[in-house]
Amino acid sequence: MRSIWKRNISHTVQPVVAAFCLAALFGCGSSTDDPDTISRSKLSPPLKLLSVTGSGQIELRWSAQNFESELRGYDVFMVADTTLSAIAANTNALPSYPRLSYTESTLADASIPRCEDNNEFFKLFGILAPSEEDCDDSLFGSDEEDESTNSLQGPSFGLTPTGVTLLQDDELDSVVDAKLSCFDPDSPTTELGSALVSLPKGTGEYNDGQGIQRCLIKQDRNGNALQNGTTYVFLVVAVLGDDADEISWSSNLIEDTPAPVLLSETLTIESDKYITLALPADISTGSATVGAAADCPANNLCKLNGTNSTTAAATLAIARDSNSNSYPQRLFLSSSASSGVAILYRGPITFDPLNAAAIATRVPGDSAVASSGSVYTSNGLTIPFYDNSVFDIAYTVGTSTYYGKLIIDNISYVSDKDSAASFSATIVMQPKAGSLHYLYGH
Amino acid sequence: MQDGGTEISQSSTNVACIVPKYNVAESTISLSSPNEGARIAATGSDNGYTEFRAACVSNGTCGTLTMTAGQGQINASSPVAWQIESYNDSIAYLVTGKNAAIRPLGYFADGFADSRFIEQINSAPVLTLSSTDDAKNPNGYSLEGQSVPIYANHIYVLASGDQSTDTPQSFYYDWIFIKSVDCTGNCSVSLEMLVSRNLDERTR
Repeated sequence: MRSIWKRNISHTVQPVVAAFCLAALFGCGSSTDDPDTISRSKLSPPLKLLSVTGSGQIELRWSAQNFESELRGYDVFMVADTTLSAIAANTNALPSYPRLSYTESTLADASIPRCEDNNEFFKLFGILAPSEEDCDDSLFGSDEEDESTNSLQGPSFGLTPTGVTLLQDDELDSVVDAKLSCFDPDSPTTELGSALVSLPKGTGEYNDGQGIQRCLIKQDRNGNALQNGTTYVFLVVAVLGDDADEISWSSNLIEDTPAPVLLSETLTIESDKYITLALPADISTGSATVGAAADCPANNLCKLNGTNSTTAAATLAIARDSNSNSYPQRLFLSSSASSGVAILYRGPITFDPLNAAAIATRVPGDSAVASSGSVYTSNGLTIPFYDNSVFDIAYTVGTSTYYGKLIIDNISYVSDKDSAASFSATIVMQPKAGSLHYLYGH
Repeated sequence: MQDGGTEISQSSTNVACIVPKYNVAESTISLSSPNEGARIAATGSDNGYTEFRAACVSNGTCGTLTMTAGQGQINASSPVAWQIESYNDSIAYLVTGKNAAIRPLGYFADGFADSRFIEQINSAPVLTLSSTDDAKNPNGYSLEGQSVPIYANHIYVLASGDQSTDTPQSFYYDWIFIKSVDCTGNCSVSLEMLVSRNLDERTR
């Protein structure tokens, strides 16, 4: 959607409008297109912005404490094909208020107001129309007098008047132009965004302005689908007023990279057999390959405390216990010492507390354990697993390590312990080397 | 705004009463050979663990859990709730006897104080014992008599029921955090336990 207010004012009336603004002093700096930024004490910004990686989509979650009766909802802004690190290195675009310098880590924790000293930063997010609002202490809301006094001074209402600049910028994308539209994470074909805000306040559990709020991003503001393998940076603001003419400071910033699910299949393994799961060389576009079932080699990967001595690279093995007379055909996961894949049993965290049906997608609420020391198993040792189990995967490609998960749901047997065992298996990997986060920012 | 003093927010929307559900026990188990077990009672009965729990509840604290090494292996019919075993293979195992099973919960760097454990593991899964002809117990529990390898910084749920019946419907759900495992030579295992005060208490 394009902005409305500015474009409906003809250039011939600009001087009149500007003069009116100068005379009236109030009301020209706050509009749908150019909302005022409200102090954090008056409008709580979205807190703890997190993302859940998806295939061609990213779910955003944040914590809200917006008890304001005029809360309109939330706006989400995005930069494509960049990273927090790249933004931190772009010194011309870094915000300069409330602090003078930012690094990747401080950006990830920052809350930033849209005001004139930060215009270049918000341009990155598609808000090309500059703010004329002063970046000063009034944005902290520590002194109400300061806020009103400052609104009468300087560029925001001064002799470089707000009205004139706004009119000169009437072809520039404004806040409402730059915002994305949220989809319902529990019903991904349902668009929630409105003309005014990305996520309108509603009565639902996740858009009511209190507690966890959720927004599924599937496309950029022009309707182009998010791409697997492309990194996106996000921020969110709260929006106030019927005309959405006031916004909060930003949330923290996060980045995430959509990636395909490498494996989502029901696997069936007969007794005394094993199968292999080969990871692709390119995890941002490839998929895992399930090998044909093979007989268990003696005293090898099909027993408790066995050793997977295969030499296949980037390959996991799932095996049934080969000694059915003494053991009840347990299941084991292993990766050989030469596979470049290390594994760590992480327990039963296969569900999303906010969406119990999410087992086929990313598993949020968790992040991988860093591969260091002896935490992971990388020597081929067989690890038994049970219903509802998750393994961390640390996959080394060249000098880079990629983290992901193997998720196994309930195991069913056709009949007794020696019959075929079936279970669904899902493999997801983070496409950014070194990223531990399934729920980014956790 | 108050007339004086400190400003405070409104209260939370709920009021919670907190009653301790578990007593804490610690133990360091040192096996005397690379192929043996260690458990509370050297008599081969489960009474040791039952008595230990009763003492924890009575005293309000458990203190040190004393394990006796030199035990033989146990199986699904052994009247022993659990013990630590090793089999000459540089790994230590948790093994349950009759009417008991183990649910591995995975890696938690900071044990019971780990934020992920506190936030994500709300309760122990329910144990329903299957026939030993089955390959597993439901909800991720091991079978009676199965050896479950233990790893440092992993947490396990130990569910154990009355051994005087064949089909117990109620269980004690205890939590075990393995602080360290060293099987260089004979195994030595250091662990911390949350010993349940009540039957069928699965939430912490």
